[in-house]
Amino acid sequence: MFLKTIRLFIAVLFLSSVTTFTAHAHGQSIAIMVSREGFDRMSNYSVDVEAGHEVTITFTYADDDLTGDNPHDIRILGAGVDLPTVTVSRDNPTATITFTPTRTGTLTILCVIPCIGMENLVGGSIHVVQPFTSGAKISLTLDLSPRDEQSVLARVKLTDAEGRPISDVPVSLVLNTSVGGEIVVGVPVTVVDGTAAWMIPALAGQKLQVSAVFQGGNGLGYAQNIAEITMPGAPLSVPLGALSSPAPPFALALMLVIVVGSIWVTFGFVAYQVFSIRKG
Amino acid sequence: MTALLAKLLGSSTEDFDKLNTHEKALLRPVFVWGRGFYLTVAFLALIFGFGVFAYLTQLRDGLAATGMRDTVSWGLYIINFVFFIGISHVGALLSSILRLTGAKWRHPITRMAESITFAALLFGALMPIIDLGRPERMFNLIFSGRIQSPILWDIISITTYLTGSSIFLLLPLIPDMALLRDKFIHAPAWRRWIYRILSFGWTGTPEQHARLDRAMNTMAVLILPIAVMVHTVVSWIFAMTLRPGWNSTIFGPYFVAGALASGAASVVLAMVVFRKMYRLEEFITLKHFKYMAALVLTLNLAYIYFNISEYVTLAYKMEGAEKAVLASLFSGQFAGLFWVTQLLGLIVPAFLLVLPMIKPMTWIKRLRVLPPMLLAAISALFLGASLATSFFNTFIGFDPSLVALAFLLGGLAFGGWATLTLIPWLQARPIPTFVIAAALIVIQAWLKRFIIVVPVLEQPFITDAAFEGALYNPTWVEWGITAGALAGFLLVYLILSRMVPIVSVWETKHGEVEETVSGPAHALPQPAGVSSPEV
Repeated sequence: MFLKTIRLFIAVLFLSSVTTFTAHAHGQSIAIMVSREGFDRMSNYSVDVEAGHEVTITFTYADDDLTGDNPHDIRILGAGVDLPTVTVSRDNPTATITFTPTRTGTLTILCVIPCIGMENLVGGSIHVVQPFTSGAKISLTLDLSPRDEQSVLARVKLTDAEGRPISDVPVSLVLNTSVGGEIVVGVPVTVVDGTAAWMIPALAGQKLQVSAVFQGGNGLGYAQNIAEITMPGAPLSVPLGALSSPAPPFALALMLVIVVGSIWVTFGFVAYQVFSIRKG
Repeated sequence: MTALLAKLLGSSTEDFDKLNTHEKALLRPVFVWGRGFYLTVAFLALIFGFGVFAYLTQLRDGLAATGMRDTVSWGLYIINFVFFIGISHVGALLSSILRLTGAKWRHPITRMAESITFAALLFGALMPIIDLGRPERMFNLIFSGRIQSPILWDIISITTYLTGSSIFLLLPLIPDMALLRDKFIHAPAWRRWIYRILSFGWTGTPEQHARLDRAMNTMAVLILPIAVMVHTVVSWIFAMTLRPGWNSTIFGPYFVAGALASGAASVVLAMVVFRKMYRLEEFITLKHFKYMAALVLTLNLAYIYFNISEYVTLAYKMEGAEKAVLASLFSGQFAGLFWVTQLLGLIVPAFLLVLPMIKPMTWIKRLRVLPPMLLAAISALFLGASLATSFFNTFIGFDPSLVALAFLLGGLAFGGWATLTLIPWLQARPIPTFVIAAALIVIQAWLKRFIIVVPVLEQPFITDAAFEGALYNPTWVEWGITAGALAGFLLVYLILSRMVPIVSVWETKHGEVEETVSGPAHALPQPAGVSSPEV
């Protein structure tokens, strides 16, 4: 019993340590062992990479101790990347993916086929962070304001460390959706005063979170800013249809009760006739 | 073995010998169960068992065992559902309309139609539950259903229709149940119990007849709108969405027309099988086939009209999101299936159904300079050459279209010639011709549901690189369940036809037989040299 408690304590200690483990990639080259116990034998593997720099990930098959093969199809999913699935197996023990994350956020690494230990291979994450080293320091401001009842005006301004405007450079505007995804809504180019503007569609009462990302380059550093806006509410100009109505429309419910009720009452009449046959 | 089964399940030649001629003609399949019946049941039960095994696999592994995913989330199960509900309409149509119009020729075939309704609904209603993956979640619709959801309307209407169809099937069975109760006295206890309970103490008094007539007339009036309602609501499952390809205002009548056509065609198939299997030539005559063919033709033409209306209005505009769906049907991934279904499943059957009803085209015999097989072979040769020309000329380098087109036209010309020479053969054999047309329509009905469901879902609203190539490929589990459901449907239908007479005994008793024999069946035009219709 005592030994069991000690083992349990050690196991809990070990698990709590791995859940907080974060590998830092240096040189944007990462090696990951893939086994039934997870990525690098962790069910919640996590690694940081820098946005705007090439990342090379090498996956290595690590289920050799199994009698049979346990292939894994590894996929990296997330906003801003479109990567192929790679396979590691006994016959194909290593696979490499190279990509350049364009903006900050979290990418998910997972095995997309049923395999032994698949529950440990769905929670890996790659955190794309702002570059630690970059060019000249840049200031990026983002301002959101209602343009009309159905759109928001996003205005960005890019200046260098001395406050001078930076013109003719693209800035990505990314809408962070309410379901956790991201949509690039536009890539405006700054004009002579370092500003750029873009119209984003919005609904009355909708809360929008928008990121503006400048990738840097040509001696300029990476810059990012996030802003939020909640659109003012407005009365609906069109009444909701029955399908989207939260409560059952009375007329519909009444009609259903009358139609279906009449049919079933008639069935009852027919059943009465049938059971009365016995009397005749 | 057969003797043992006969003892357990019920076969009595002793009782059978005491029946009168009319009863003997119709009740033989009920009284005498032979080896063929047992083998057929065993074969169908085997396929049904395989379907059950496939379903258990799905229960164990979840819907991941199917080809359905988040993009294409409806597949074979919903196709089967719409198909089964569709063919179930025929019972309501035939029995209700023909009863209300007093058409006596209906008597030998109404029970076949009503039984199709009952058996098809049983398996049609199961399909959405199978599609759920977690069947216990069906109760969520009852306890947490939203009355404004078409899914709930579907559940209500199908439950109502199944109840109504069961009553509609049962009512005209009551006098025949009483007949079996009185005459099948050596039946096993379980069958005697069924006949006793379902005969409701019928003795044939005038008052009982009056009550039965009242009940049957009421149901005849009621069942038709219910049937129309059910398939309209089934179509609304699709049409109430905003999906391109389903977002249509004519889906209700479009589905109802298709359902009635396929249901009527399935009765033609049932007629020919039972006629041969149960020796019912005396009751199901050429006249019945002719009338049914006219009905199938009318419904098929209505369905063709709805197809044209649906596709032409969309194709003329080719607007927005509809464009991708229509392009996949007209010239894309589903083009082959689409055109084959439209031509072989709708247009060709219409011609086949017309041919035996029109004057024999004797002049076509003059075209028979060469044997049809030789013409077909030449046609195939030309079509092959057309394909080959297209293929090789891409390497040679000159414009291949003209040569390929010439071969294609040649192939079509010879193919058309071969088909023309077959017309006298088809006109001389009305029943096989009707049956070929009916079979094509029933197959079309299933494929058409595939065309309605799958191509639309393969054009998702949001495309994501991670889920690109969202193609639907049904797995063996889905095919297994589909085969099992079809076998189960046939099994229920077959057993029903052996438990009760598939042609109503009491309704065909009073002169209808004579009427059917001496009716206008022989007024069908006969080609020269053909003495009687070949079956």
